[in-house]
Amino acid sequence: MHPVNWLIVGVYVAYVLVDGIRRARGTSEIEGYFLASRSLPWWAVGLSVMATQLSAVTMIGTTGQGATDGLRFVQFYFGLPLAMVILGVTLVPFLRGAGVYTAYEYLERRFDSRTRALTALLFLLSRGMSCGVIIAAPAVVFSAVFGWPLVWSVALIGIPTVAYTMLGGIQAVTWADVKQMILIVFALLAVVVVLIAQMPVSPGEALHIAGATGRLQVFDFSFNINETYTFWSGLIGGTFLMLSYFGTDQSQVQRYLAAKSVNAARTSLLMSAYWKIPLQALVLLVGVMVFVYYQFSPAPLLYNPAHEAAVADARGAEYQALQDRYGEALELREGAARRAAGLPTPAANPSAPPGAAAAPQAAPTPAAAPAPNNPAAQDAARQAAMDDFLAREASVQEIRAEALAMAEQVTGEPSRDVNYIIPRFVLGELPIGLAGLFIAAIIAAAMSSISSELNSLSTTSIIDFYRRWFRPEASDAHYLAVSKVATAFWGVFACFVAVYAVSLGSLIEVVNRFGSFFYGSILGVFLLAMVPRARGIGAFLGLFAGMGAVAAVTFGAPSVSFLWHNVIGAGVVLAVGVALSGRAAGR
Amino acid sequence: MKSGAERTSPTGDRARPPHAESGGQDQGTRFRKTLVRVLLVQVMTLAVLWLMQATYHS
Repeated sequence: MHPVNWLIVGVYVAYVLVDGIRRARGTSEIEGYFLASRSLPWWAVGLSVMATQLSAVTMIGTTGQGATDGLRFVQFYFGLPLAMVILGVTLVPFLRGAGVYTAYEYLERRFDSRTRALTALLFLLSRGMSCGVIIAAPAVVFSAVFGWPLVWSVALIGIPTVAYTMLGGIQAVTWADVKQMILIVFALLAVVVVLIAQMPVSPGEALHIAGATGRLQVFDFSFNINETYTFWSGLIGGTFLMLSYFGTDQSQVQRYLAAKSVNAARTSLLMSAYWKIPLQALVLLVGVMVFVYYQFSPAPLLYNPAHEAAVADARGAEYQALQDRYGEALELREGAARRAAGLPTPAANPSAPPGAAAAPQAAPTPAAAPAPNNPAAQDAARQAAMDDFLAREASVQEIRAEALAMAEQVTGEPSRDVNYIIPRFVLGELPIGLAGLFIAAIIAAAMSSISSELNSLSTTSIIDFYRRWFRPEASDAHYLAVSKVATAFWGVFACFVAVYAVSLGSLIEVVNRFGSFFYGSILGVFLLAMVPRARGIGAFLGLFAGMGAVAAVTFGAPSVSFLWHNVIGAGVVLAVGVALSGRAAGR
Repeated sequence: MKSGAERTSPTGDRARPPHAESGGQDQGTRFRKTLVRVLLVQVMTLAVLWLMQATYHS
């Protein structure tokens, strides 16, 4: 990477660190450290909520998903606005009025200490692990792209984040989130502008090309519980997932507990309700535009540079032959894309069959131009050109599939390289300065999520366990010191998980699966709290029943999409909780 | 700051969410208006996505 880009990344990391340490001054009470003395304005909390949810996985993985799969992932967020409105009416006034530090603290007041302890423990286990995964995802990509040892990448992201979170508490976390969110949105918009400026086709033509490959298909109205992203799974399953995440996950709850008032807390959540879907569509659209960009510019055969080097080293001749075929297929595809967009074709032979090599000196052959006064003929010609483009695109993807299979054989690692598309594009195609800004934005996205998680892990450890069970009467100075130690502990734990998550491979899947077991069930406990006749025994046993039901669905009928697991978990907890509470009350 | 016992003592099943901070009818009206605005923005966003799909997806 160019030194100017490194300078931008360095200045960003140094600024976040110094600003975080500056905000540590004046924080001497535990309420200030964990909840900013409930003084934060709605817009800062709102941006922090959005920044926490937008991690480096979004910047790298979701944009890559846009490039390979198009916009349909945006359906995942269709339930979010509804969930935010429901939370604004129900849980926000509940938790704000209760004057608690954590969501789980409220469960003890409503039910009993064991329900609080169990939900808090599940949060610590899941979030502690997932925090490591959040560090690991960009660290792995940085290591491959820059050729660093993984530990360096983990340190670059982890150490500054742990430092400012530990020293500055929620003040540092929230105000850093605000700046990080602005940086992220600015970087995304800048990339869109550069893409539009650098592409040889108009935005309308670019969208036609993307649309022809199915990448602009957003809505799938089929009611299929096996399909992960449909309108209905997003709206119904997504609502339950977002209710669980924003309503019961301490990393989110803590944001709005730190707001000035109930109204400020509600408004901060509504900011996500307004902006999340447009923002997510923008993230995916960046990926779609990168896909179109690579129709007119040579795309790498393998986007993961580490895999590329390993394959070239182990099976050089075979890989070179594949690259030659790929280069020719790209040339043919570019010609077809230009004809589909109505542009002149520079050096392609449109008569060659898809997948066939072009003649080395093939002369440019213009597409047969239909008479300008015959719209039907023009449409037919455009359709034929688009069909030809799709056939060329399929040939390119076939060769890529061969290369990915080769990489998997050589490295023994999964070779799906969707997470490397955007980093390769940023470093190879963006102008100096903007590339550094985008890398800084990826680091910012990682930091904003990790810092909120560390802060909430520390809060739950201290409030729900240390102060509840071990030292209920200590001074604020003592709790503050222990909270900083807890933040550092969780930071080291997350970095440790990040380093080993990669070698364990399936750990990421285990963490996600583990999370889906209890997410909906914890939501069920909070919903149960709103039922007047519900009792502690119903909540505690209902929680186990909910997790058991999700486990049964996961292992018994694995084709049920995970978005429905939250609906099942919450529903079973409610049903079992109400039934057992009724029996307990009857005795 | 409250004592540890006050902070942690469960108030059992009688514990109910205090609504004092949540305000009265004015806040309810304001919230309904906000809800309508949120829904409008979402409908507009989905309409733009739908139009894009209808125009360019083939």
